[in-house]
Amino acid sequence: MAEAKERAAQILRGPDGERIWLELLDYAHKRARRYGWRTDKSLPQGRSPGGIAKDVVIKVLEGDRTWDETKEPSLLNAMKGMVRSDIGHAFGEYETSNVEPIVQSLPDGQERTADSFAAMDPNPEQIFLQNEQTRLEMTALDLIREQVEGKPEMESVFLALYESSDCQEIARLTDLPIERVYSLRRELDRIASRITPARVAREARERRKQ
Amino acid sequence: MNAADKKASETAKFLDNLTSFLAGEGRDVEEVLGSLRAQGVNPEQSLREFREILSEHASTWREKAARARSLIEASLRSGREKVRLSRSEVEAQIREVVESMRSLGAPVEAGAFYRKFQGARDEDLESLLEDLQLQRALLLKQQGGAKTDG
Repeated sequence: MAEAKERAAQILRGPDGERIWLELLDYAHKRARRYGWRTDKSLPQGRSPGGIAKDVVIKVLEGDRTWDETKEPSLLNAMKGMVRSDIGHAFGEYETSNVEPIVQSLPDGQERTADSFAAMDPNPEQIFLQNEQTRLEMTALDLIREQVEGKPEMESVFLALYESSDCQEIARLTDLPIERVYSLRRELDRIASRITPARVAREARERRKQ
Repeated sequence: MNAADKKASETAKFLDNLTSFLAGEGRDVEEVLGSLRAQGVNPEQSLREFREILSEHASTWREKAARARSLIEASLRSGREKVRLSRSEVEAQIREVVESMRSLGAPVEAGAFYRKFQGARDEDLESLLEDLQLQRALLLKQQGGAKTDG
């Protein structure tokens, strides 16, 4: 795999290298925020989005992670996939470590065994965790919706995001020129950056009280 | 899938799409820099870190040679501080280094100076020895690297 790492080094040292790095870093922060909206947590074990992006670049340069150019011609997209996977694992480990152990006996005193659960059903702790995550995600979505309400173009982009993440496709769905979609994206980015995981968690707690 | 599950799944998909959309194609560098700053990231600092990553993990031959040279120079400096060689010992070492470099197939540019070293000052000889040792170390490193790559 010497060729892949040398090719990656060539690109990262080339005229687009720094732009690729900045985009990867930006993506890592946005992915971490996305998970934060669901879990009310920043990355566990002292990890940071920047640290994860850095690890990915180092591993690609050292050949510990392989970029297969035939499958994914864009180095940036390949590394985004790796960042996404690593951030997902980091939050996944956190979620697993925070699931309480299952109570060992049933209410009638009988020992609880694997037969007490249907094969594919989540256990009660998993159901609780899923509900909590959904509640936080819905709160994040509501906070974004509140910010775009009353702005017809933003509202149409907001609705299109239920269908697609692709700018061209969103332009097609909304009948907006692509340049206008780019401009609305900048505005939406500013809105999203103000909706931190901590703010979402706070808002969710407030809503629960009501 | 019941209505609550459907809504949860749509919400998750929306947030995933939003994240990909916001980090998607078509942004210029200024826009990415602005986005990073809005998220509390110092882009200049992170660019410095990126350049360090490249220098350490994707070094050009020039960077590798500069690093090897500074390591060797430091080791030679510390060696010189420890031991002060006599003139005859320095001459013997120069001969030994030149011979070993020739056996490695290297043309020794310092050869002409070496032939005249009888008339050279002690400091010049010590300096010549250091340069030759440095060249030999780089040569060995180069040949070791070539074998590993091969």
